Amino acid sequence: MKALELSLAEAADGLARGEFSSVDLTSAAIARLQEVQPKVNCLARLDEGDALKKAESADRERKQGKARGALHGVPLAHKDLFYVRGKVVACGSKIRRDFVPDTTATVLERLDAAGAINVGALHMAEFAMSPTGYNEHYGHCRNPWNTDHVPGGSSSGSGAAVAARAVFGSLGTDTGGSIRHPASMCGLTGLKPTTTRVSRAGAMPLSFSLDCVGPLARTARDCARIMEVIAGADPLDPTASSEPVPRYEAGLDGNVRGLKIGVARDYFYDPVPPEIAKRLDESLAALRSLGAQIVEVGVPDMALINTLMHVLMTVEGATIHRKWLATRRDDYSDQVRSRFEPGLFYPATRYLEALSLRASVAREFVDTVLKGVDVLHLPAVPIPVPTIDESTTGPNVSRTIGLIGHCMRGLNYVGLPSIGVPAGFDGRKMPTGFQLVGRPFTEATLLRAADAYQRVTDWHKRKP
Amino acid sequence: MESIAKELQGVGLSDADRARAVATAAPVNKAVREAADARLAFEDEPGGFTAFLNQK
Repeated sequence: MKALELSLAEAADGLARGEFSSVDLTSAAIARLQEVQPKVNCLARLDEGDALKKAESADRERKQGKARGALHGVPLAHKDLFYVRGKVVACGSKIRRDFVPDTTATVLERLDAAGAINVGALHMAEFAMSPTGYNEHYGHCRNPWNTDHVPGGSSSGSGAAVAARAVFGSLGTDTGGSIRHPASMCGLTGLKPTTTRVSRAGAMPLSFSLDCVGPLARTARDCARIMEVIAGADPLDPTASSEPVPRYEAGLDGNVRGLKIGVARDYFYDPVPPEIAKRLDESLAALRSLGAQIVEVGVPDMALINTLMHVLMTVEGATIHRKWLATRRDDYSDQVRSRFEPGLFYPATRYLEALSLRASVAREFVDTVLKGVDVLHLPAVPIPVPTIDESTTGPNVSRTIGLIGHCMRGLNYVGLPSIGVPAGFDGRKMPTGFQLVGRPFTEATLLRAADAYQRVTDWHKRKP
Repeated sequence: MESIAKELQGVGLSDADRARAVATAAPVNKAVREAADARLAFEDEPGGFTAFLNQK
């Protein structure tokens, strides 16, 4: 169905104009998921019957003039770690393969209230603990641009399904890059919001200090539309911010004239090969052509930031998983278990030091890279998209896995919002991208800049 | 340090797993301690991060 090639916003607007029905779109999405599943393995659970019932209901409501919201009738699917009452939510793991929650994640409730159709759950890395999408239990998810390559993780199925034009958007989670990795590697737009911007109630925890929920979609406008629905305070998540939610989509005016964009070369560009550096320079040129000012900025101590992030993630992850690490060791893959285990060896004093240093380190980061500028422009995944073989075997596996998150994981420690935007292709014809990073709660600025960029480029329109 | 996982955490690691985890954790512990010695003020505590996020 041609409509599957539309962006989420175009599909929602087409539904509103009666150009097609929700049953048409949802049926097409289900058929497309079934078609691509044998090749890309992006699906964890298909809820065909429930989705079609919801779509029929959405069409009836539409005819009665009772559209629920900005996503009325649009088929979506989400990472298999958002709890859905009465459904198996396996979190990419063997240990939770029969887990049936008795609650539904706040973000899914909000999407439902806005009229979205949830067609199922998407594949992911085991317990969200891999930047590639590695999963020994259910097979690796594959990149629809070339199935020899990883899609990026841990929201691997989200990236693959949206890129394959099976659904119009997907929620993922991002603890150290898990929305932005698949966005970059699959040619999508993905937003990691400010820490606390979006409720995490009913989302599987990995690291409660670092976890963020956010959208993966084709365009910045799509992400803006989803963010307006999911962001905001939530009594079920006491850490969710009560900061008012802007009208993100209304702010997409295409105007970045005078916007000051910082470029931090040291550290972030160290592993970037020439073909990706060229794409990054082209993206800066496009933003400059729109009237943005590009200025070079300094770089803080990223080694320290990454170290502190590692302590929070592994200690919090090891705490959550400690009982299973003791009693069900063989039910973890070696790669995932070995990433949790160092968390057992940090004294409480080191962990609390990592937490207590967070404010001053984050302030220093902002004062260094965002001094005098509105947003920071960085590489996303700074290396070419690896193949599955390159990220699972051989002497360079650890280095490859480490480099995928090189420009991302530190941003989770400092808590800043970051949007991943497609910027073309690497030397192997696989997608690459850049990030825009802002001060806390400046998602509107990031979305506006990314949308302006997408008005003068067409990388986000390319499809596998 | 090698006995922490088994005795304090109740997680029995193989010798190889323990050696791998300790090899990761030891330099990290040192780096965090040194950063705390150099940068952490007496009054600093984790809640400061919420204040950072909310400052305009």
